[in-house]
Amino acid sequence: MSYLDVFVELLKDRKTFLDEIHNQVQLKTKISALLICSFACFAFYGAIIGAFSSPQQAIASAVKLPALYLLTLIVCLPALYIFNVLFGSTKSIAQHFTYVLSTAAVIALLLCGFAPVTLFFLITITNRDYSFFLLLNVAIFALTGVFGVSFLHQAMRPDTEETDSNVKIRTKILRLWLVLYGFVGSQLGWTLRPFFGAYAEKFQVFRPHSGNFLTGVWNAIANIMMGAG
Amino acid sequence: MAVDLQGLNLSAREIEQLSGLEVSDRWVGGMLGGVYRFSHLQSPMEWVGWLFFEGLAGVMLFSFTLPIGLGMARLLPIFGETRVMLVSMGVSTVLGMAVWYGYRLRKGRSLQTFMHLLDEIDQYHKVLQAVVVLDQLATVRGPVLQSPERLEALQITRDCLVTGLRTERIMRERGGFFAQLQDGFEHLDQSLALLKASEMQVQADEYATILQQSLLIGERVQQELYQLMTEGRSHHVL
Repeated sequence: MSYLDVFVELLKDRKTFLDEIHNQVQLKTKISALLICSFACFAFYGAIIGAFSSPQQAIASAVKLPALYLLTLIVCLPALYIFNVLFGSTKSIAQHFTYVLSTAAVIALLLCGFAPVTLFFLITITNRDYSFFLLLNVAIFALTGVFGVSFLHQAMRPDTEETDSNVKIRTKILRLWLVLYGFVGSQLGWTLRPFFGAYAEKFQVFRPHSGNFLTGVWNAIANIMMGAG
Repeated sequence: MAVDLQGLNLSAREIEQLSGLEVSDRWVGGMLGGVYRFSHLQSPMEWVGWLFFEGLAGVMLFSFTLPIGLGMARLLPIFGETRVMLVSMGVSTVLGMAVWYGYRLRKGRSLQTFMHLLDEIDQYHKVLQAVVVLDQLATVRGPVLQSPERLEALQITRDCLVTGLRTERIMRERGGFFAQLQDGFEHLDQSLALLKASEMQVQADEYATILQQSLLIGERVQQELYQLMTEGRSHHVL
């Protein structure tokens, strides 16, 4: 089975794919395939959004966007694993990693699906409206993130047939972890910015540290409102 | 016929169960902690694909070193944040790749026999495919009579490969035990040699004792003879 086949199996036959993770079938191959393929998809989308300002930004974003998603997973994974094990989960850390990587792969694929839309706006925006492009992508990231998170929620939800008394706690842990994942991801995204780079602005790999993700989004909305007013 | 041949196929899952190692088209044990199957690199396009993959893995490692770069940039801001970050990320990537290649090289040596077996399995699958194609061609002319000898030959080949995989697994997983056994044999050899040496020493001691005793007896006889001769001379003089 090639790495591309693993990726296609995730798309076509998700039930079998999840069953195989549950039964620990070819976990190493799955982890490798999901890691490589989702990295490539994130890098592709990163290059598109970076192309908004300059070719250098496109290269930088192609490296930074995969790092943002995959590092967030790695940072948050131990918390999920330890809490789940503490409350009766028998799944190994490799299984946990495969589940969360599958989520990343779903998000990566959805982003690739939105790539033509982003490319369309990139070409057709007349005045290179940074705030609009930023909000458009925040919306795309939020939408794909919601789908990815719901996938993980479905995939990792403890079996209803399980008689374990900790099942409810584990479901709550998963929900809390998803909030943590979003929180860590948005902050890491803020640390690694710029991903788009404002038009005609000098290229910089990273911006100076200031504020956080929420203040950034608020400023972008305020800019649009002021422009409309 | 094709139905019969399907049962003769050795699937990746079966190989995994027999060998305890995951096998994909290009890797044994996955990209992380596994070994690349270089025997598959035969055409230039496959080499290009491999180089692309290695490049992608390098870029992936580079992006994963971002936290190191950020940390170093915070520690040494006076040298320029971007410069420190890129240099530290580059160095970390090179080091990471070196460690990764070293590990793969080491692991590859321990899996040489298994890789050889996998190549044999690939050859076997090619033969199976050829048989299927020949059968399909034959059905065009009319109904095909199943050849029991051919099926038996394929079954024997399959059994040999399965036995090979099982044996290789035992040898790989019990490598330490076999090394201990080897040590034990060497120790036994040394003990035998010592035993032999001590046995020879005992024999030598016995010979020495006998010789010494013979010498003593000889000396005594000589003394007695000398004494007798001396006494005989004195009687003769008297």
